[in-house]
Amino acid sequence: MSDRPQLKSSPSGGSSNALLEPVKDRRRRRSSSLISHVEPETLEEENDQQMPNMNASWVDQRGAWAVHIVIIMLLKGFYNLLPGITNEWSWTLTNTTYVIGSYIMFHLVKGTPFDFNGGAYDNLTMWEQINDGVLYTPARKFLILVPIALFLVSTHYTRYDIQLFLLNFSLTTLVAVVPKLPVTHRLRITIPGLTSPAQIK
Amino acid sequence: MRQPPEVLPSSIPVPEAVLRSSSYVWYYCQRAAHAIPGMRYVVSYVRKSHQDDPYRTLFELFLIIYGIIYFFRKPRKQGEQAAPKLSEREVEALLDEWEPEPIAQQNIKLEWRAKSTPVLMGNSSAPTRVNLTRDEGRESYSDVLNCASTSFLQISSDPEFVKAAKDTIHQYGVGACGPAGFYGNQDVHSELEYNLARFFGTERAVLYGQDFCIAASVIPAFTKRGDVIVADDRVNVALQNALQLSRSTVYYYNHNDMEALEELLEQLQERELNEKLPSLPRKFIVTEGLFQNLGDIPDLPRLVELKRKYKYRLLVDETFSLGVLGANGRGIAEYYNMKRDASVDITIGSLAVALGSSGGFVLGDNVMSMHQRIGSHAYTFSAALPAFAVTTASRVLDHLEHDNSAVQKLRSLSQLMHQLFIDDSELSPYIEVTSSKESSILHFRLTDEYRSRVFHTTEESLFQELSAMHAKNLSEKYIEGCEREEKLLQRIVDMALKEHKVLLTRNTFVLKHETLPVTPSLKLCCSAKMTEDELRSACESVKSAVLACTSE
Repeated sequence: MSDRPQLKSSPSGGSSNALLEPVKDRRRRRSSSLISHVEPETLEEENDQQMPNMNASWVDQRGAWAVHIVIIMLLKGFYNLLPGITNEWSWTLTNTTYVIGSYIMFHLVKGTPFDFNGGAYDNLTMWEQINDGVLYTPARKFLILVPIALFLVSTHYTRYDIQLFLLNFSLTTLVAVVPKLPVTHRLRITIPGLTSPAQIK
Repeated sequence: MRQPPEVLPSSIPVPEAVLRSSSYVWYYCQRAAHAIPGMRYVVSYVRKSHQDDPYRTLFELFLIIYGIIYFFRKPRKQGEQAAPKLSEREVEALLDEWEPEPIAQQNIKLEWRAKSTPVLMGNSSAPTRVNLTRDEGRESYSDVLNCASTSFLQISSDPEFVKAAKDTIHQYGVGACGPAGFYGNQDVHSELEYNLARFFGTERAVLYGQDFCIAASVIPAFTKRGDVIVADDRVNVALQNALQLSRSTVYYYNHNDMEALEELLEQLQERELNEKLPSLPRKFIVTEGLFQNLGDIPDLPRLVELKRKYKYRLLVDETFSLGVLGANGRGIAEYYNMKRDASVDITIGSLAVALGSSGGFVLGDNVMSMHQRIGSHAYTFSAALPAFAVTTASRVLDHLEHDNSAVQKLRSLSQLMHQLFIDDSELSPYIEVTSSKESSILHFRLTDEYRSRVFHTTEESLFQELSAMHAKNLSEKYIEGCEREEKLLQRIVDMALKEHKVLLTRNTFVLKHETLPVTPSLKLCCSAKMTEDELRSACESVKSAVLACTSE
């Protein structure tokens, strides 16, 4: 017997085995698996998620929907003002900025800036937090239809240009639509050296 | 063979059949479209955006169709199973089968506890003497020496302090019944916070309305999932609740074993270096100044050394040590001649124990205190203390600053009490004293040998049984061996009360709330108002009761 102290898990570690080490990673993971799903919430996490989540609740509001349109219009106005930018490029840049911006906001940053949930949302992106994770809600429908509509409009105004079309199309599908699909809900792709490990263990 | 439209790059071969069938479809679609009013504009838009490029239109069409499909789906949760469809008869049958449990269960096995709870009645001749009844007034005792009170210093029971409390009630009423930030705090509250901070030597103090819930409020205010807490494995139930609510990863080290703590911290540090987390977790060491269940004192200098070395913050629950340890009752920091603001980061203290008032407080630096005022639930949502409890506590602090005779007297009584028990060789086969000599509560429990001989249990076996019940999520926890031991201890209490008029108490705990090892024990408290002779005779009577009951 070594006289090293045994690591005992917390009473809240979610495990009934008193001598087990605390659960290391909340994501289901096999060795060297690149694609994994976020594990379903434990009872304790669900309990902490009962507090109103101010990070995601505003997304439902109609004003927040209108802001998407306003931002797109402002972006278009801004790119129109830049010298040397043709109308085609101005639409393409508007689409690119909106799509990448919404990706950062909805799919890249995890957790909440508030301290009310004891970190129960720290493994979830904002897209996964809104509407308590229910799919096909009005807010989600709106948020997926906006980039599609923006793509149709911008591709309409970029006319013949096959390169701009390809740029717009691939950005819209890969960055705005695919991450919002039900198939990719709570899906994590690990790219060694690029993605950082999850904060919550 | 027909050539494909010129816009298509000739390098991509398109099968004849596809072209032909799509042309037909397109033709009939066009005819149908002309029949619908307003469709002209849609067709012209489509024609414009089509730009004679069918692939492009195909991509766009694909996106549009997916958008429409998504739009018409019904809301549902991911992986959610539809509820099984039951016929009305099946539902009826299920309802008939169901037998509801009574909302409140009467537990006959535990009734003796309620029957043995003393109820203090009115004023008595001296502050150390009480009149009490038990079992709903069926038993009554008068002029009993109170060795069960944790109001150790007894300063606030002096007539001048009582008068000051009454004056405050005349002037301030009994409080706004509101939380601190919602009319609950009056000028006296801020004054007491300054006084506490000055007296204990920290930057700031935060006043709470109730001492038990402070830990459960302060720790979660600073921690969340992913943070690390290293705690002593004998901390009291208030801290146990707090650790659970902290949602952090909690590790326990063996009680007061600094070697084990260091080894654990070393292991954790090693692991953290390997993990390369994106951001650093908050790390705390949690312990008590004077342990509520055992009465011993941790090695603070070593703890401070370790916390500095491994970059942890130190939280000490000083509910029972403030007013008791140190020359002026400034707690464990004064006891070890250390500065509080340089050694302990968060101190939890109680006004309801030695200081003889009500409520509690947290000592610490400015930033930590300001965060609590908006982030600590018990501070922001619970009613603040009534003004008279606050002014009483303020006056007690003033008194302690000028006159430490009560603390010194208490210390000499504590040492005498411990000496009387430790030196008695007749007792040693039956009981062991766990508390430190400085503690004004003498904690003693049955020896391991006696326990295993009479009840066939050990400390470990009790904890194992408890954790097994915990794992099964049993709400009612009942351990036969523990219960029998408690009953034996209660017999000692009863005998001391009935035959010698000395009131001591079991260390009361509720099994279902305990998540850490706990052992039944007895507590004998001294207070500064007792005379040496009084205490000496009380100790003798308790000893005789112990001997009488254990050698049965």
